[in-house]
Amino acid sequence: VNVAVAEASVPLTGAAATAAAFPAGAPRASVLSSPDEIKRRFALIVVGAAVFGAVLGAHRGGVQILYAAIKLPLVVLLTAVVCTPVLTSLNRALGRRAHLREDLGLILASLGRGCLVLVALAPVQLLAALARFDYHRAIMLTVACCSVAGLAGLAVLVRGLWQGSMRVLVTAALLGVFALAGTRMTWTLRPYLVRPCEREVPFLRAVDGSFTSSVGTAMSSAQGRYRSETCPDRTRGYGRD
Amino acid sequence: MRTIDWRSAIRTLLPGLAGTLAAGAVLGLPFGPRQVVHLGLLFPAIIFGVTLFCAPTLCIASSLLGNALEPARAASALSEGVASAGHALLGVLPVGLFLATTSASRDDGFLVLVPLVLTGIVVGVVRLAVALRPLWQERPVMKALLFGWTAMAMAMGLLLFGRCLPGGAL
Repeated sequence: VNVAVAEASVPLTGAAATAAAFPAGAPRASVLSSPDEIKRRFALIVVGAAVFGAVLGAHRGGVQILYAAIKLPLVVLLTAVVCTPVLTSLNRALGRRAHLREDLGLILASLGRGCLVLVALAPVQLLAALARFDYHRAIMLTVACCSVAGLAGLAVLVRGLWQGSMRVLVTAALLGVFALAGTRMTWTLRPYLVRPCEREVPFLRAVDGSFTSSVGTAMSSAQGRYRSETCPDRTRGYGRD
Repeated sequence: MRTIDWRSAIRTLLPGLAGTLAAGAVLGLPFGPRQVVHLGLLFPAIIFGVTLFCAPTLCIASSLLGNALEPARAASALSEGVASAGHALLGVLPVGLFLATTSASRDDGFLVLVPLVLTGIVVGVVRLAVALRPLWQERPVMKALLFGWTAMAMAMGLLLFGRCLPGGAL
């Protein structure tokens, strides 16, 4: 398992070295917004999220590995696309230094670090897939991995925003928007694991329900309390499919 | 006494108008195309209307409390606040559009947009408070006045907007 993940992580080494050097000091806008640095972080996000996505898809196997490897980088990058103008406009509205490229650099740095942590957690997910984890427990594990990665990325974002005036308001507002947009983006581009009872693997599901209600349902289901009738045969996991 | 430079005031207010117009239109998205136009026009009208209607209260009350706020200075601070709110609302527009178009139901779509729009308005209020800092910095009573005035204006705007929503969604 480790060898497979290590092989998949080889293209990350350059970006990983940069990101590893990064946490030691506060991010400097000029460094983060240089075109080379933006390209490097873009590549880190694409590769890192694709690796984690592929491992998520491995719970189901087959074409889902490819689907999830395509969708997860899209989730991260589209979240960056919709959140960057928010940061720039907040900075501008509050009389802070506002520069779209610098803000994009900071957001990509934050998401890049999150993706790096996701790559680090990929073996855990792969192990769960190989051990044929229950579908709902796999969801809970995924939420836990993404939460850890999110917190790691958050530290970079907060450090970058925590300068100048109005920093509390800008940070709180951006984090709120990030949470809203990120969870909705994840939800819109689902499935990543695919319910075991589904015979066909859809690239995208129809718009219904919400991310938070889904996590609540998964928590109940992981404890054996089934509420929904989405799977009439109530198949409980990949191992029993 | 300072005079009001209308040309610069209008230039300052343009982003405010654009931002509130766009925010109103996005708020109307979950309710259909007619409401996009309706709320798109209504939202800026409420923001500008409430601000104009409540502005004299701020000047008169500050004068009664012994720290008179000149109308020109009040106008400048208020236009700065509205412009900042507009900038912030323009920035949250892409997220708002995304959230509105990917919501499972009308109510979900609307409810998720409300905090975004409130963020823009809070940004405007904070900018107003910063612009009037010399007024309230040394006298706590002026701080209370500004807080009370803001609460009153926001409550008024919220109630007006709630009454105009289709089916009283708020």
